[in-house]
This record gives sequence, structure tokens and C-alpha cells, in this order.
Amino acid sequence: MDVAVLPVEVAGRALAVEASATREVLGRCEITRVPGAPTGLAGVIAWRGRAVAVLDLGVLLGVAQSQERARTLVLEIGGHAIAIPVDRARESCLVTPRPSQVGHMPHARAEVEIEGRVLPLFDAADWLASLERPA
Amino acid sequence: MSDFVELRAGGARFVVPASRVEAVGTTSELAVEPRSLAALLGLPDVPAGRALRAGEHTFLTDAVVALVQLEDDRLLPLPEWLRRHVPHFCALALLPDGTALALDLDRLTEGRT
Repeated sequence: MDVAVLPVEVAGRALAVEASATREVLGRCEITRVPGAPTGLAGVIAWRGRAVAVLDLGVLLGVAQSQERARTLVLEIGGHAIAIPVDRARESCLVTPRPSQVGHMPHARAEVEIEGRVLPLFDAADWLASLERPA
Repeated sequence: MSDFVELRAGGARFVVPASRVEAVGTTSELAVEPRSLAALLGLPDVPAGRALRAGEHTFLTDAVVALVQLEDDRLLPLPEWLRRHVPHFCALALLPDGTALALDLDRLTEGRT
């Protein structure tokens, strides 16, 4: 089944994020760091009167230090909003996900092909669920 | 509208409810051995600074900066799932010149008395 995805780039790595969960694409956001937060959780931002947790995919991918980026995706998953800073976000496109052939990145069980490139499809819900599970 | 005390610890900004702060001063003025707030939060310790007494606890901070008044809608509660990971923070405070985390003093000192 086709799904709409947003191709994004983080620290030179291309990946895709499901478009249906994306509520807004913001510019650069000031992140308030949260000491002691789990790996990959860069901090929080204010969005529409809410404090929203910020996931840094660069850290999750192990390719970059946590930092603010030119664009910030805001996703809403099961009532939880999360923000994901990215360097670039392109227009959404329809693709057919297939099971991952290689271990691209954590929390990416599928991959998609866009313009001849195979990108991991990041599963934000899976990442969020991993944090919600008791330690 | 509520009053908060803005402070620094480990180089970061925090706020605590002013109603909880009983005294601010040097260690010798407060005549206690305070615990480093930065160390409690896992942040780099900055020597010197001011001590802040809240109930039976006294914390050493980098600095106690100012008293700030915040409208209720300038204090955004952290999501519950996030608080389970960082229970000593309760909200994101939107200050006139930036942001700070609001400390939950009760959770910060739980099990540390």
C-alpha cells in the first residue's frame, strides 16, 4: 500500500518520515536542553502552547551532535507531539514501503525508494514507544 | 500570574516557584552545607555562586538571577511520558528573554534527604 512520506536530510543522511503524522514544518527552533534526557532526545520546544519533546535524528543515527537545524518537523503520534530538526525537507511523495534489507538505522523497519535512492523510513511511533516502555 | 525565581546551574537556566524559596545567600550567610544543584542534575559544576534554601533543602547554584512573573500560559507542562524520564523537571517556562526549565523541587530531593 502506498504511503505519503517526507524525504528529509539530517547531517548528510537522507531518510523518509511518514507525512500523515506531520502537523507542521517550522523553521529553526530554539531548543531548551533537558539534562538527563534519554539518548536522542535533544530537549523541548514550545509549539502551539505545548512543550514538545525534540528528537535529534543525527544523534540517533550516530552521525552528529545534537543541534538546531534549518527546519523542524512537528509530528503528532497517538496524541503525543514530537519535533524533529532536519537540515532539509522536500515535498511529500507517494511510495510503497518494503521491509528493510539492511540495518539503516534504529526504528526504521521499512525502506522506500525515491528517485532511485533507497531511504530508511523512520518510524517515529516505534521510537516513542521505546521511550514509553518502563526502563 | 505566578512568581518564580530564575537561577543558573551548570550553565543552564532554571526557574523555581518563588513561594518555595525561603532564603538566598552565600553558604556562610545561610550557615549550611548546600548540595550542588548542577551535580544533582548531572551538569558540570561551576564553583562559587549563591545558595538557595527551599524547605529543608539548600542548593548551591551558579547564580540566582532574578524574580520573574509569568502568566499561567507561559508555563508549559512537560509531557507525562517525558517526565517519567526526567522527573525533576515539570515544565518549560517561556521567559521574556528566552526559555528555562521549571524544577520540581519535591522530586529533585526525593530520596536524598
